[in-house]
This record gives sequence, C-alpha cells and structure tokens, in this order.
Amino acid sequence: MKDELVDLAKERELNSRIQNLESEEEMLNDLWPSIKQQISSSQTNVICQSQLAETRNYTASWIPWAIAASLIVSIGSMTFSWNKLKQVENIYAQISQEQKSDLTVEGNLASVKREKEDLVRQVDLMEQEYKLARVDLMSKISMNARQIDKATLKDIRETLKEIESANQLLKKAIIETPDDHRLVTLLKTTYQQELNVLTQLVKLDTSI
Amino acid sequence: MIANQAVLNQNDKIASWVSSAKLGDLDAFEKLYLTFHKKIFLLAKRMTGTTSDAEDVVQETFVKAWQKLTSFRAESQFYTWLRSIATRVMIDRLRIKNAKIWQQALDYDEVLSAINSDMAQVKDLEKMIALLPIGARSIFIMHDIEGYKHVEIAEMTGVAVGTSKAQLFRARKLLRESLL
Repeated sequence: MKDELVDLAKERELNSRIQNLESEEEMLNDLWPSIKQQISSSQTNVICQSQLAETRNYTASWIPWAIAASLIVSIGSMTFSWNKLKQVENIYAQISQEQKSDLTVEGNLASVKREKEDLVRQVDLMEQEYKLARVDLMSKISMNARQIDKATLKDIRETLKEIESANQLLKKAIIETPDDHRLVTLLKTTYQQELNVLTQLVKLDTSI
Repeated sequence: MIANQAVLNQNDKIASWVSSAKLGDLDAFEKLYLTFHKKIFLLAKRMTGTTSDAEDVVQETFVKAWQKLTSFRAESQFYTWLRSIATRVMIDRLRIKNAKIWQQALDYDEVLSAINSDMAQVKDLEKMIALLPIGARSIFIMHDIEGYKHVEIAEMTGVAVGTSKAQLFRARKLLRESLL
C-alpha cells in the first residue's frame, strides 16, 4: 500500500513535470531562407509542369487532325503500295508463265532426246547381238571355206556387204526418224534374214 | 478577457495567413513559420535527440506543409495539422534507421539499471526523456506530451495498440523510478 502511494506520488510528480515542460525552443539557425529556396525551386518545377501540361493541352487539340492526316497518308501509301505490289505480282506471273512454257519445251526436247537415246541403245544392242551371231556363223563358215566354192563364197561376201550397207542406211534412217517404228522392225527383220542365210550356209557347208 | 481576445486575434491571423498562403503568398507562409517553428523544433529535438536532425525535420516539415497546404481544412487547428506532418516525417526517419524500433521489447531490469544510473545524475525531466530508449521515448513524447491517442500512434507507427501501451508503460516506469 505504501509502495502504491509512493508510486502514485511519483506518478503525480511525473505528470506535473510533463505539464511544465517547455512547449517551444529557440533555434540557433534561421532555417527560413533555406525553406524559402526549396519552396521556390519546387514552385518553379510546378510552374514548368503546368506549362508542360498547357503545352500538352495545346498540342492535344491538334491530335485529331494529326491522326486524320496520318491516316490519309497511311491509306494513300497503302493503296500505292498495293498497286505496286499487284504490278510486281503480274510481272512475276508473266515471267513464271514464260518460264513454265520454256520448261515444257525443254521437257519435250529432253523427252525426245531420251527416246532417241533409248532407240539408239536398242539398235546398238540389236546390232551387237547380230554381230555376235554373225561372227560365230562366219567363223564356222571360214573353217569350212576350203570346201566351199570360191565363187559362191565371193557371192556370199558381196551379199553380206550389201546387207551390211543396207543395215547402215536403215540405222541412219531410224536415228533421223525415231517415231517410225517400222524401220526398227525392218532392221530387225534384215538382221534375222542375214543370220538365216548364214545359218543355212553353215548347214550347207556341213552337209557338203 | 483580454487574453481570450488575443487568442482569438491570433487564431484569426493564423486563419488569414493560411488563406493567403493557400493562394501562393509566401510572406504569409513565413508568418506561419515564425509562429510555429519553435514548437516543431522542440518536438523534433525530443524525438530525434539531436539539434541537427531536429533542424532537418523542421525544414522538411515546412516544405511539405507548403506543398500540401491546399489539403488543409480550416476545421482543424493549423498547428495540429503541421504537427502531424512533422510527426510523420520523424517516424519515417526513425523507420529508416530501424523499422522495428517500436516493436523492440524493453528488458526492464537491464535498461533500468543502465538508465537509472544516468538519470540519477540528472534532475531535469527533459534530459531524462532524452535518455529513454528511442522507441519508448518517441511513444512517450507522442502520447504524454503531444497528446496523441494510442490508436493514432499505432496508425502512424504501424505497431499494435498494445505495443504502444507497453512502450509507454515502460517509459513512464523508468521516469518514475528516476524521480526523487
């Protein structure tokens, strides 16, 4: 209880002293010039900002016109560009068409060339087979040549030469007119006939 | 009667200076500065503990007051409004130094023994207040000297009302123990 009374006394003392505290104190330095300078500089900033805002407002009234002008220029540019693009597209289309037709001609030529080459290869193959068979037959005939009449042999050789020259003409004609398949058939028949003649000659020679 | 008349005249003058200052009259604002800067300086000196910091607070307070003058409503006292600006400036400064300055618990025994020995040397309450830990000191000044309520202190400092009360209790206990 005594402690509480002491505390209360001290509490009152403290409150009393708080009440008696000074409410203000003199400053050694005058801060007003510095405050005034800061306020003035901040005011300048505010003025600048307001002027800027006014400028923005002034500019803002022209914005619709500027947008309209920009749109017109943009549309004009776009139309011009579109036309130019179309022209270029047409030019490219023409060039492409020409290139296509060129390619078709070239393709045809290549195709013809390929057919011709195939034909030559076919004829060569046929000639090789014929020559192999002919060499074989001729070797057989030569082996028995002593038993064959010289005049007959001469006739055979001359006939073979004529057939060979005829074959050469046929080959030339085939290459010049590859579409005419009858010539190939004719050449084939000629080879076959020659080989038949030679085969009969070998048989004749053997029988003698 | 004469004193009341003087106060009324002073209040009228302040209201007139405020109105002029709101319109951009810097001379009127200077009169407001001359009227209130000593009070703000003492408050700042008590809170910050140093003259140089207190001067910085005074300067910042009056510059902010000028910038915010249009938001001042005539219903409240100009000094109350000005003081709230100064208090917030100081709280911000204290928060920069230590964000948890008001949450820090006071170890009463240790603080008491350390501070009491210093306080025993001084009989001046002003000097005793200056010896208080900064968190407890600022709340003691705001509550007991400036008259802020715990709710207002809690709102300004960002601490709980209970924390504000606890800090005030410890500050007052320290001061009571030191009083002879």
